[in-house]
Amino acid sequence: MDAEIVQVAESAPVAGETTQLEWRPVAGLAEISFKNFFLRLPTLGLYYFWGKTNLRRNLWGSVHLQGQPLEYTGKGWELFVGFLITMVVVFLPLGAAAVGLTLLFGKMFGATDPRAQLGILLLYPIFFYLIGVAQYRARNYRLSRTNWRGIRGHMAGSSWKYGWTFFWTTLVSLITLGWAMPWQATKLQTILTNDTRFGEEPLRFDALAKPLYLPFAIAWFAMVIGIGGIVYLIKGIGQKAAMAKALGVPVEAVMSPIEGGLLVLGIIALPLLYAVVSAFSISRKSNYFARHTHIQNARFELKTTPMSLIWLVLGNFFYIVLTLGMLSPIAQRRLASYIVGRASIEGAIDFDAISQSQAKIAKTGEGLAEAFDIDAF
Amino acid sequence: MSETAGFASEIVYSGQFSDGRTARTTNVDVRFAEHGIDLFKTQSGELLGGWPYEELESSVFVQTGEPAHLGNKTMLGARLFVPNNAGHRADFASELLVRVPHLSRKRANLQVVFWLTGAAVASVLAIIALNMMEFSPARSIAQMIPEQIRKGLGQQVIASLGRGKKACHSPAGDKAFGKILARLDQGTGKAGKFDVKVIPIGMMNAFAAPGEYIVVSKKLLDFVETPEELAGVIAHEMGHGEKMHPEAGVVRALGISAGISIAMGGSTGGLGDLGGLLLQLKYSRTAETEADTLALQTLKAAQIPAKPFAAFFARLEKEHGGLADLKKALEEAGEKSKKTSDKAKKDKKNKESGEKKTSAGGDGIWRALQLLSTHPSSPERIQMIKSQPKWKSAPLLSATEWQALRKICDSK
Repeated sequence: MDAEIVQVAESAPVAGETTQLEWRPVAGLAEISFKNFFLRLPTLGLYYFWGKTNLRRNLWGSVHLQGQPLEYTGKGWELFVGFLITMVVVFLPLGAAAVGLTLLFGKMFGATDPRAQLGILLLYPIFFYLIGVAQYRARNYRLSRTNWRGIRGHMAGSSWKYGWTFFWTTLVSLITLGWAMPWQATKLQTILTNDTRFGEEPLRFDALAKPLYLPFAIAWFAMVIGIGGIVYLIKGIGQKAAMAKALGVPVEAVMSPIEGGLLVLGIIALPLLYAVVSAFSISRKSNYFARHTHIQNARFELKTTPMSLIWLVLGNFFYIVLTLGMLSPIAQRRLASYIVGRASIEGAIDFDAISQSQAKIAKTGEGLAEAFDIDAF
Repeated sequence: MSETAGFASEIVYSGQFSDGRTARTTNVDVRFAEHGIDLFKTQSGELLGGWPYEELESSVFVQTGEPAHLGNKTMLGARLFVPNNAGHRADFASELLVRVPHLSRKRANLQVVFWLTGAAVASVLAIIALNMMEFSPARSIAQMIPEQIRKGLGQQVIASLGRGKKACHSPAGDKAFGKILARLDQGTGKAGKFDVKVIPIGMMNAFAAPGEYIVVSKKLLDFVETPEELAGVIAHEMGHGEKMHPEAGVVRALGISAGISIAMGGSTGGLGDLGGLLLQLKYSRTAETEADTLALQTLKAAQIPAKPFAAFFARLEKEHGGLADLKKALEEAGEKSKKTSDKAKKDKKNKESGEKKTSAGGDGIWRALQLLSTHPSSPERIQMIKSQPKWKSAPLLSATEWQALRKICDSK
């Protein structure tokens, strides 16, 4: 039984057709949550990698495309070994370098001089660079362990190159007080998407940064005004308090309740404000990026809304915080089902033309990403 | 027919087959046969092939009532997907599990848990065993650290402990101190190996830092009554330094913090606070005994009597007894909180009962701490020092020299 098979009449590709991604939850998530939580201690943390793998198997298997689920084929030991290798190859030398630099600067400035602590700062660029590398490699590992109809994915580019782009664009974003961030996000996503292969089929990304700037500007100014207002209030109250101390009267005597009320309100409202404005800009960005992601002649479609996003994040916050992290798998499922339920593919894909990935499969995975703790799933 | 015929089944399930070369899918009918599952093209009924049971695998564990997603060990990438057909009279997954139990989720998971827990327990036992055997990898690693780095570490420790306070100096004091050190050097036979300083730090202590540094606190200098007592204390710290106990402690502490960060799921960080780490160093009983033994050899060779060293310990035990310092600190903290609560004029009854509780609890903690203490109790150490046969000794400092040394921190 092989390629000689005569193809059974599949629904022939029709232009303009829409394929909805479906979320069909696989049973057993509660059990996974309990196990991941309670087995951590008796196994001295080692179970973490296996628990994470179990969770992914469950989540991946819940995503259906044209009636067939995704499949996660990664193994717990792959994550574990990847982590160990990273510890030995990256963090041991970095740790040694940190100690060495501290000693060196201690010698230059004297051990008690605060400048002696500056030596470690020299390592920060390396960390930034490695974050980008980690992102790329983790994505490659996950793609290579993600199958649909037996076809796996991979990343076709270089993680070191991506790390470098990540590094310098982050610098630009810092220097421009964040104003380069939409440009940076677009640039990085372009690399990530264009390097992505399903089988040997490339994805294409053609989004521009420009449409992201309006929501970004609104978010940026809202935050600057919000933070500025709170700083102003705190400063005012500080002066009043100093005045009260000088006069020898209680603070209440010189401060109006309105000021205090405003401050409390501001401190509570600021995170909420941030949540709302960033929800708007994240929702816009995700939908826009999805619409500009193509495979063959089809493109992706994502329909998130700011309010549903806020609701999702708030709910997840309580799932995680109130159960001390035990139900965080449920939170991850909520996020995954949210995205999948709102995603679809517009246009037809010729699946016969998508051939198996020829990329070498990495034996271990995600060590770096694990160390930086940068992944959502 | 043979008994395996019972394993065959007439029920036909519909599934989808992909060959692992392209993302194309073919609708198939699936039947359980004697030695494997047979796949037929749905439309033509043509036999595509058979997958032997022992070659089946599934990365998503097969669960009763769930769709099955099967691979074949000899056909890389090929997949057979059988949905859980609602309303069907039989369940493919449960029929499959009867024939291929190893595809079940529970068994695979139990194995992982078993091995991981085993590994964790084994490593804890191994650490305990190695500790009991006095095997110290930390010390072996410490011996590999280059001297310059050890010196640098020591300087940092001293700087962070002394909070930038400078070592005490006065012309006459330095001269007297130098005299003691010269005698001790004569004892160790390694002139100038150790750099010993008196620093006005808050606690009453003497400690060896990495890189052959030794610090005597001003408070300890006030506490000792004779130059011979002081020499004993310094000789003891030299013993620690000679055996590289401080360096081994640093290595051990770094190792433990790395271990914890692995157990906590890989968050790294905390490479920075080296000073804080070093402050927590505590030596084992064996290390203390080693230092004492070396100290006695040094004192003997330097013709300094050991008796005052024992007297020092006895007095220390009496006045600051073992963990008495800590107890006192706890009591003082209790006093303070009592005072503040008095001010607050809280419910009096409530407070009284609460106070009793805390003091009782404090006693319990205190006892637990004593049990846990790794330091050899002073009586044992005093006994060991006292049991030494008397050796020939020569006076160390004159009364005026001793007075000058005690005032070494007074001049600005």
